Amino acid sequence: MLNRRSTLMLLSGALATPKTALAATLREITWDDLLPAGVPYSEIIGEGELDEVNDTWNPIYDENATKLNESLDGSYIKMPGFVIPFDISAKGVTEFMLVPYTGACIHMPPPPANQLVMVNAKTPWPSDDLWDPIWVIGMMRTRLQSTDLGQTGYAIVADQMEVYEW
Amino acid sequence: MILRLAIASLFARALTVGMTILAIALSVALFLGVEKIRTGAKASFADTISGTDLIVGARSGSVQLLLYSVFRIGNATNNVTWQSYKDISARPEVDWIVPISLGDSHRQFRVMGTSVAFFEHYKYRQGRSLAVADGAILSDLFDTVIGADVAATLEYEIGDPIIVAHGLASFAEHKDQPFRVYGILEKTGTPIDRTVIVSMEAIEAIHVDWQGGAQVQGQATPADELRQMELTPKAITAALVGVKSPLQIFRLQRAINEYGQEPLLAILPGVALQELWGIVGIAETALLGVSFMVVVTALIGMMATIFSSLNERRREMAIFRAMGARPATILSILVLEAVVMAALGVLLGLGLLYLGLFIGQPILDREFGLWLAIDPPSLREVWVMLAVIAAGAIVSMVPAIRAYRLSVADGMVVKT
Repeated sequence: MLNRRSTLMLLSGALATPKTALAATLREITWDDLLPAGVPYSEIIGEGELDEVNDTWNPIYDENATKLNESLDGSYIKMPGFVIPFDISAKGVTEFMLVPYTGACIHMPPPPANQLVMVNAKTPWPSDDLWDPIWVIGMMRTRLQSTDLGQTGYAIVADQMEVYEW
Repeated sequence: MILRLAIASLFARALTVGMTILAIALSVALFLGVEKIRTGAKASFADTISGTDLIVGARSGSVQLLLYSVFRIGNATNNVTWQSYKDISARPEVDWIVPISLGDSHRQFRVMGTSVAFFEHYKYRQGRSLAVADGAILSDLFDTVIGADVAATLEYEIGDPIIVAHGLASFAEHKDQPFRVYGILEKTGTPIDRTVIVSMEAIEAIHVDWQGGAQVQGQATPADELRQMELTPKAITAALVGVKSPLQIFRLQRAINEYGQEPLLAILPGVALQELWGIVGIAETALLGVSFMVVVTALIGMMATIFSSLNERRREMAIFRAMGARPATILSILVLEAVVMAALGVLLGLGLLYLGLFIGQPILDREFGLWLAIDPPSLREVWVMLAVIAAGAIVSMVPAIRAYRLSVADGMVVKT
């Protein structure tokens, strides 16, 4: 039942939402949030097999590794991570992969697809040190790539980056 | 009024003031010059490779692989067999792969064997492709494409013969198989400028009659026969790889690093570059520290000059005071003089820097392949210059406060 008072409130509410929405849209997330609800962090990596010759463990990623949290698509987020540079110019890194832990690429199996975020920086990030974590702020997109291999993942167009203070 | 006094006073002591200004100018030019070389060196390194996802080579260190495959610094520890190369190219993640074969030279320049795909996929300075200034890219087995510096230094033109020598610096020439210049590349500011590019098959062809680093006596396969031969390389030095999706880079890298048949190493060029900064960074900081010290020394020198001038200007100060100048006026004259000196020093230093850049730019480029852009001063440099002027003002406070404290009588009384 709508009386005049509640209609007014609704109207003012509708008018006010753009402002509050803007303030609320900056969602600070962590790496757990990249997994869809109901998938525990421990289950993103499948059984895996032991490579006895090289003495390493090769994980076999099951479908949990590529499941994305679709609710993040299009949201304006802020998240921390480490920079694995892909394209470096004189001014800094322009294209990089944000990963939850660094040094991951050589000594350990790479993180699964839903634990990688491809970042395109609007302004190059003058990063000199691989071991410095940063905050990335920008628009998040899911389904970054759908190649013939059916890979999916996250991508951020970064408006802003900051040094992460421990 | 005070400014006019200050400037007139500086003019009156032109020689000592001039020396102080020169000292500040030199220190500022040195500091900014070091900064320029630092950023210039970094830029030319960072701009050398772009768009390549992985570099594959024999297992060594990531920085070493980057240095020998891209920058032609140092040497490969080992080769990659053709079988491994084929296995990697067959992987589903690979979008494109370009082999590189190093190890021969032409005079002081290195020869690189590669495929035609190199010209398509090798990118520098944020995605720029190689462009041919004259001629065309490889077509015949004995064609070469040479970099801009090679052409300029050896004064080569299209059609000139080139004899490739065995080894990186060598007198053992492959005289039996002369090449010809087929294309000259535009200047890139990368090591490509100092490279002679031939086809992968050509590297194989010139070694057909060779064994153990020397030509087998009396054996020389004619060029036409070589063209008919199937010249599959036995090994390559490194390969540049492009991956279909960035999400697959780590997977492919791991697969190559764990390749069972041969110890291989796949690196991300960006990561290796940053590791390189990590090493070079220490030297950079040291260099910057030293030039900072020079600036500090020049400022302290200025303070010393003002101090010593106080004594000879005792009467001058006293006369100012007697004529009604307040102690604060004396203080501001001295500080203003210092600021004018520092500012002139900074401007002169900037002039010296650009003069140096103007003269040094072509020499540095030719000798070290280091290209320093002549740009207007960056924001950072403007801050440095302002900081020097501010530091000049602060430093001059010390003698100025001393002059402020001196009584009128001090300069009036005749001392014997």
